[in-house]
Amino acid sequence: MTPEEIYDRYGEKMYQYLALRLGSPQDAEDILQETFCRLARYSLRWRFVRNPRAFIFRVLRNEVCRHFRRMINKPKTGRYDSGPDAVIAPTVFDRPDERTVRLVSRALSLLPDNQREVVILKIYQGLSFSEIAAICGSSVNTAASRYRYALAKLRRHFEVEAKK
Amino acid sequence: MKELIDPEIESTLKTVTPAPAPIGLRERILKGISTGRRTKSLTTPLMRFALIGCLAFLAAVIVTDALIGKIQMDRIQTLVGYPALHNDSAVLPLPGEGLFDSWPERLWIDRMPLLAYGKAPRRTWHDIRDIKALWEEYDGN
Repeated sequence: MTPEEIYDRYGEKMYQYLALRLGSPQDAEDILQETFCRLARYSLRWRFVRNPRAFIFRVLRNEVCRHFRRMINKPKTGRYDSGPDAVIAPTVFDRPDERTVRLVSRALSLLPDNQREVVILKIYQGLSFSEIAAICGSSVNTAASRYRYALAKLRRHFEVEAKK
Repeated sequence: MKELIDPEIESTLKTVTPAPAPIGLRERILKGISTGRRTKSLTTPLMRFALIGCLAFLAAVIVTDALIGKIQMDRIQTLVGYPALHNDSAVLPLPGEGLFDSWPERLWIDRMPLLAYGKAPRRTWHDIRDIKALWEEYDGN
């Protein structure tokens, strides 16, 4: 696949995944650029790829992990610094002024990184559990369990918020 | 599995949608790839210079190794009278072939390390020199 084809098919979803994972549109753009540079060097691997979407998101995820590792030793500069425990900026959603958006972004920020990742891939990218498992390098049952635990935590959070 | 997943929470999460990619991102990304490719490709002057240097070094190592090998082979041939790759088992007499039969038992036992030397498929010039010196010492006895 050429970079143009990859972008036309998955570029939008890749950007959204990165924005939600990193919590910052600027970092999402940077990591997307690095991912495409990496994918451009993988021209020979495409013939062995069975599921291009899972492969691309796996590469994307690896790039995010590299970014997180780089961020570990860097001093925090702002509220929306990207990292495994990053606060998701409401601007990564379509309508950042709504109350629901703030509620959802705060709730997602409270989840552990591995659970948040599964929720993002499942809800906002529409991937199956088998694809998520392939991307995260875990079993299908683990991916489903993380999703279940994440929803339970989100439910508790929403209930607490509703009582306020 | 499905019955365990809460549909209300899912629908709540789906009420918000991630923001679309900024306008012009596609062009920036694709332009960035072509720039990255050019800087990292083997056609850049620095990479070409490094590649030529590596190839020259490799060629020098191969030629030097071959020359050293040839010089050593010539020295061995001068010393022992036959090429170093000669089959030693055909040259060195084995027990029972007549040559060592009359020698004392102790001397034959002392010669065992020499025969072990001789079984090496390819010996260095120094090995040959040592063997020859020992051999001459025994012959002197």
